[in-house]
Amino acid sequence: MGASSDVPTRVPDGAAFSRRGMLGLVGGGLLTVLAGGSVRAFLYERLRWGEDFFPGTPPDIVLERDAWATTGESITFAVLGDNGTGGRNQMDVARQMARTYQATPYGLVLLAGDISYYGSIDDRWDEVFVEPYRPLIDAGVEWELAIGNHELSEKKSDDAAAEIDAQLRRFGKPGTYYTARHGPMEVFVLDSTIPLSTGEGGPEQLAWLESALAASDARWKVGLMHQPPYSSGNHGSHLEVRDAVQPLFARYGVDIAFTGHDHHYERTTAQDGVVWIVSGAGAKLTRVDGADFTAHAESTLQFMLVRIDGDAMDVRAITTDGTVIDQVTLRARSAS
Amino acid sequence: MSSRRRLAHGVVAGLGVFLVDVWPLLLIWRAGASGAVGDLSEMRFLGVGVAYSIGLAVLSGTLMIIALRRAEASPGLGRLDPWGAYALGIGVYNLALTAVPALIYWMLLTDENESLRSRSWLLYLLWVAGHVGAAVVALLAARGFLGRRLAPSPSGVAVSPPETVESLR
Repeated sequence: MGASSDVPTRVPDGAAFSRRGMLGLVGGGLLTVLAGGSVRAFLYERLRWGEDFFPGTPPDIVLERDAWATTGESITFAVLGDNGTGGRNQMDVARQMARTYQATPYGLVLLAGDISYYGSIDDRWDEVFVEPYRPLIDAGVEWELAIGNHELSEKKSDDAAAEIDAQLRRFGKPGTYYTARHGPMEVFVLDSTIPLSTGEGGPEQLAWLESALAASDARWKVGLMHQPPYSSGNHGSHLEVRDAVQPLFARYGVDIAFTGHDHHYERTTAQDGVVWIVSGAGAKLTRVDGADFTAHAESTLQFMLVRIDGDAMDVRAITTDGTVIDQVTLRARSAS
Repeated sequence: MSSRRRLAHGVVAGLGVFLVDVWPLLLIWRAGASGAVGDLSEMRFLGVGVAYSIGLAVLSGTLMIIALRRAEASPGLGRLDPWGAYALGIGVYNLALTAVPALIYWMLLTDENESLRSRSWLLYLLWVAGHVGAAVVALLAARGFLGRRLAPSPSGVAVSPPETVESLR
C-alpha cells in the first residue's frame, strides 16, 4: 500500500490506460492527422503563392525583331487577360509567350484588362509589364488594351480616372473604347467596366459600337473587353454585357470575342454565330464549373495564340509548359 | 524497459510527429506538379518547414522517453499511458495547426486587391506563431493528460490501492 514520498502515484480515479482507451485516442489522433492535414494542404494551395508572393524570374529570351508576317490576308496574334500581378505565375505565362513567339512569331497582343493589380500602372509599370514582356517589347510587338475592373476597384473615382488615363497613355490608346485594324481583322475594344445600358457613357458607347460595326468592312471582326457575358467561373456571366453587346455582335457578324475577369480559360459554343472566350488566367487562377454554353473550360494558367489565314481562324489556348489545351478552327462569318 | 527500448519508442514517436507534420506537403507538391497555384517549390520555405518538423520530432521523441521513464516509476501505469498522451497531443496539434492557413487566408487573402507580398511579414508572423502555438497547446494537453495520472499524493502515500484500480478497469 505504502509508497515513498518521491514516487509518483495515481490520483484516486486514475488507472493504467486501457487498451480500448488507447485505441480510441490513436484512432482519434489518426483521424485528425488525416482530416487536418488534408484541410491544411487544401488551404495552403489556395494562398496565392504564385500570384504575387513569389516574384518569379523574368524571361531571359532574346527574340528576333519583327519576325512575324502580317498581310491583308493573314495575321497571328496572342491574347492575354488578368496578368498584372508581377508574380511567378505571370512570369511563367510571359516566358511561354516568348517561347511561342520563337516558334510562331506574332506581332500583336490583345490585353483583356487587369494589367496592374495592387497598385497603379505608373508605380508598377516595370514589374507588371516591362520585366515579364521585355522579349516581346524588344521584338516590337504591338498591344491593344481593354480596361479591367481592377484598374478601378481600389481607387476613388478621381484616382480611377487618372489610372485609366495613365494606362491609355502608356499604351498610346485613344480611349477606353476604340477600334484597331490589323491585317484582315478589326478589333472592337470595349469598356465593359461601366454599366453599358444605364451607366454614364454606356448608351453612347453602344451607339458608337453599332455604328463602328456597321461601318466595318473587315473580313474578321473580333471583340475585346474585360467582363465576359458567358462564364461559368467565379464571377459568372456578366448579363449586362450579354444583353447589350451580344445582340450587336451577332447582328453585325463578329466572329469571336475575347474577355477576362474570371481567372480561367473557357470557350463557348457559337452564340448566334459569336464564339466567346474567357482568357483570364494570365497570372491568377479560380475555379470553373462549365455550363450549357461551354465548349471547353479549364482552370489553368494560359494565354491564347490565334492565327488568321484567309477565311480560317485557328484558335489555341496554351499553358505555361506549351501544352495546347484547346484548339478550334473557325470560318469567317463574312465568308458565308 | 531498457533504455534502448525507451529510445526506440522515442524514435518512433519522433518519426510519427515528423510524418504528421510533413505529409500534407506531399499533397501540395502533387498539386503543384499539376500546375496549381500553391506549390511549395521555394526551397527556402521548404527548408524552414522541414527544419521545424525535425526539431519538433526530436522534442517529441525526447519527451516520450521521459514520459516512459516516469510511467515506469508509477505503480499501475504502463507504456500505453504516454502513448495515449502522445495520441492526444497529435490530435490537438493537428487541429490547432489547421487554424494557421485558415487564419492566413482569412486575414490576408479575402481581399483580392491586396498583395500578399506586401504583407509578407504578417504571413511569417502568423506561420511562426501558429506553429509554435499549436505545439505548445498540444504539449500542454498531453502533459495535462499524463500529469493527472502521475500526480504524486500530497501525503506521499498512494491513495488508490491496486485492487481498487483493478476494479475500476
